[in-house]
Amino acid sequence: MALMELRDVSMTFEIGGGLFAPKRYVQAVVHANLLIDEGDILALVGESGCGKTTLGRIITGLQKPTSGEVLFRGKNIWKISREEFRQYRLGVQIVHQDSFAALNPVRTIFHTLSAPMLRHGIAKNRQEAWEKAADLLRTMGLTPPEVFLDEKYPHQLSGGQRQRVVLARAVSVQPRLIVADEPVSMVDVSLRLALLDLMAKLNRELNIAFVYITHDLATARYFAQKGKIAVMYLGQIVETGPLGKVLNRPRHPYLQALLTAVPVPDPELTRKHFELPLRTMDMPDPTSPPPGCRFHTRCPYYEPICTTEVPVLKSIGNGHKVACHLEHKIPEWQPLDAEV
Amino acid sequence: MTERQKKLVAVVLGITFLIGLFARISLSSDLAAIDARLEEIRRVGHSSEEIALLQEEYSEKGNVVSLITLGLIVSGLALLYFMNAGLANRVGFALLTVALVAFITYTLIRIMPGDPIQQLATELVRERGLSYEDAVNMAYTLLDYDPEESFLEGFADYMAGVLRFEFGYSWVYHVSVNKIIARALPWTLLVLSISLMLSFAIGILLGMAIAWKRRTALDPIITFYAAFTGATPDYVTALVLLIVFAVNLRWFPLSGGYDPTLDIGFNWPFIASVLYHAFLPILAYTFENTAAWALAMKGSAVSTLGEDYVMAARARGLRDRRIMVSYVGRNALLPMITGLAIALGSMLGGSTLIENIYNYPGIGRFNAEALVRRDLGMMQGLFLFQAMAVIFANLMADLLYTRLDPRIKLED
Amino acid sequence: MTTTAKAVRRHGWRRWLQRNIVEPFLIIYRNRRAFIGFLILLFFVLITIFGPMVVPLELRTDYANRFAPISLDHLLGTDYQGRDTFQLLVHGSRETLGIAFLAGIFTTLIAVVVGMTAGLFGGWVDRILMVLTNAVLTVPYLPVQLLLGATFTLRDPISLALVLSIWAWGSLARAVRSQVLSMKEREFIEAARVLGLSTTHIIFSEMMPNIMPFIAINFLTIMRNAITASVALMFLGLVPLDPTNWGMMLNDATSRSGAVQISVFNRNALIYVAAPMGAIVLFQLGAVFLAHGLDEVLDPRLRGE
Repeated sequence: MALMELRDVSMTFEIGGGLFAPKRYVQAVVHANLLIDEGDILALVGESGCGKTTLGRIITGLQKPTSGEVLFRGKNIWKISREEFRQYRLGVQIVHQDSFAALNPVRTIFHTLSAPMLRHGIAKNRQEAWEKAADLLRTMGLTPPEVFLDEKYPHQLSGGQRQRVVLARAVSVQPRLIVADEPVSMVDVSLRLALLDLMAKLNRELNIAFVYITHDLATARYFAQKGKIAVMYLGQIVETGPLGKVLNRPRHPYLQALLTAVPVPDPELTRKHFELPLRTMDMPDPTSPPPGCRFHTRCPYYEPICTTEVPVLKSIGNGHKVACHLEHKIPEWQPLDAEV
Repeated sequence: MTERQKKLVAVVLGITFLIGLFARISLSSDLAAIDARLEEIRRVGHSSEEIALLQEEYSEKGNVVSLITLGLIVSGLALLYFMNAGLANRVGFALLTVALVAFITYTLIRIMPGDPIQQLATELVRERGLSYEDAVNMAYTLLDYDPEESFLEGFADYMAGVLRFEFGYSWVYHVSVNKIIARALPWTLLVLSISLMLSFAIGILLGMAIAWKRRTALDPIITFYAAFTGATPDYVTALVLLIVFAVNLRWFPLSGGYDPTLDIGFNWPFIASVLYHAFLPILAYTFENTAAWALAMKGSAVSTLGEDYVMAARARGLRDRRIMVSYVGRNALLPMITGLAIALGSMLGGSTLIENIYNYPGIGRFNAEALVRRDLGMMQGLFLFQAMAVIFANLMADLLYTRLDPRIKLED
Repeated sequence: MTTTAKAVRRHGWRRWLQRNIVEPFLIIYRNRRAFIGFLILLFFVLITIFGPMVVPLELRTDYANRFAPISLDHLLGTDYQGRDTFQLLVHGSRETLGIAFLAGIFTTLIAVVVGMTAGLFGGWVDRILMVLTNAVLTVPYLPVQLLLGATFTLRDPISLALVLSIWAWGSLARAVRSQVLSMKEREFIEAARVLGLSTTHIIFSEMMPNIMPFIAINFLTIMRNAITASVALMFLGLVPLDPTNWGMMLNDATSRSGAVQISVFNRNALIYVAAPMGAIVLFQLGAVFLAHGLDEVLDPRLRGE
């Protein structure tokens, strides 16, 4: 049984609408299917506004999808008993992008770490909570822990340290899955790898599954080497599969465009670089997405069918799935970097 | 709905509105005639039967007028919605606020401890020498009060009056509150508008000055001045000015709005006398409000000074005066506009005490009199009027601001 | 038990003292205006608590001694009945400031409940509460308080405090609502929800500490407004409370006693008229000054390392 499964999940937001003003709708997620097993790593990749954060929030149960099922260990989380929901609640944690906003500014680090442990009986008293918190901080590489537990407030820590505290808090309730929403994008570049390594260590040693949400293909490639990838465009998952396979042989024009946009640190290669001629750089208005394939307004290969029929994810072998009518016609993408 | 349908609905609404308006105007003159007769009888008459009869007629026609007015408001709002939804939203909220205030005022009448009928009847026995029974009947008709009426029926009646802009009946003066308002409002408007303009203008100039030239002695002086006036209730300022300039120095008159020995009219001695009497109240209001404007303007101007376009203007070598007036001044001034309505509201609120202190013949003095003499009718009528005036002022300021600042859209 | 944990236990109260008493005081002390305000308010608090124990109250009329000048016997002279003005002020402070304090508590309670409910529930609850709040904000509070004061006969401090708070909570409620709204979107509240912390914990332990600075500063402003309004009510003679109440003193001084007119002949009468006004203004100045510094004290983000 899968740890976490999304079946045909869609999320539509209402925006605007005063007492008299008309309402508009945004489809943030459209018919998404995902499967996450114990200890899996899934990279969820897409531009900002593509619905990847919403999908993450649906996985953590912060948002109830407008349709579809969210299953935790085979049970729909919106239909289970209170006790089962509590199990799920603790089982799936979230790590936010902005570590400063993720920590209560007027509460000490110790309070932030101890409150959930005390609440759920993981620690029986403040004494025990202190010791557990210290252990957690040591695991996160924040040593000596006393320095951080002793009347320290979030603003007194560096961005990297804060993000480690956030991770420690998530791990403190012994979760099975952590949804990490752009966890390193606000951290100094030099510290990003260390944080990703820490998350990989948690995955390896504690067997915690990760959903890594990012717009950055490079860090996705680094963190989810052995995991899976799902690429989103305007609320739809357009391509998914084992990360290595998908990135080596991208089939969806959108993913090809994304890969082309990744800078390569070699002037020779960049010069030869084959530009994927997108028809426009502008994202369509999400309140009125284009009919048919949502990418057709920008797709260089589009044909009449793309403007009328919505493509569905089709398997092309080895767990690799693509949602594109013209998958068989689209030329192979040339990797620029020989190492990939 | 298609554009065509929308237009059709709008035209129908517009025609309905115009017809309603016409009916409303022609009927109100009828009402005014009945009211005048009622007034006459009330002043001298003892016959409560005739009053009752007239009142019956009045309330019948009045209800029609109220209904038409309600229709006018609804169709007007719908029409507005077709033209500008955001605007309709604001107006709708303002109307809702008026309704809410009316509801509260009405509730106060109903739950007030002690029987207002008895109170008025006792007064009538004493004043006019009626028998107690007659007096009670008279009180019922005067207050247009039916003890059998349920809370909601009573509220409907009350709202019908509000829709006709009738603010009730003064127990002490035995006239409609509308008459009192008509007599008192010009005085209050005179003092408030001059004070508001003066304090606004002086405050804005001071604020600009301290925003432009920081680290001068002016800044801390203004800051302290603001703290001081913030700490001093306006009636204390008014009292001090009265004691110093009117009682002890005798530079200014102790009370009144003008010298009663002069001919009332558009002649110089009368105008001079009016201004002379208004001087201390205006001084009190202006002294109280200027510093707050200066500080608000300073804040607004300082943040405007940091904007890129001001930097760019400086870089282009424009003269200081030019930057200050056409770049900083204009943009920093815009947010101040909403403050005008709030200031007007608080000044109007304070007028009850200030006009009482100067015995100035405006709304506030009548309000104070109503409060002290427990003239509930006048009290509530004046309160509703003040509230409606402030709500209206707020709405106007809001609309003006959105009109002047292109960045703000009329959406909620 | 590790040594560190022991240390925390042992020094807990001391740290608490350091963090909640000493540091805030030092910050106030460093901010000149806030410190002056603090001293003024401290002075009033001391007078309110201990004044009546130290200073006797003689309410006997002594017409021979009316409008006496300032002297050692009469620190602020005497009133129109020959009573000691200073004694009246000291004994009146309890009721005057007590009413303002009560009104401050009531107002804050209403505002926090309304603002939090609106912010937390959202939807129709929010809309209805915001229409109400807008009404309260648009219609100035003094006329409402005057109307209520004249409609009901207020003879005790508690009902007066209620009347003073019923229309004064608008701006704080709106501020609390917008704070709650912005906080609800903040990630640390979301994280608390994901961590399965209870709603009560989230409201009282995570949100409340963040809006405390707001509430504290507004509390001072609300208290100031309550004093202004209560004195206004008494000034018009609507609320007959104890004659030592500053509002009643001002009413006596300006209307009943004729002290204002008498001041033309006897300048000492001015002292009597000025005394309650001075007390009111001084207290309010203190509150204005202190509020200025409080923002800094209650916000740990603004504290130094």
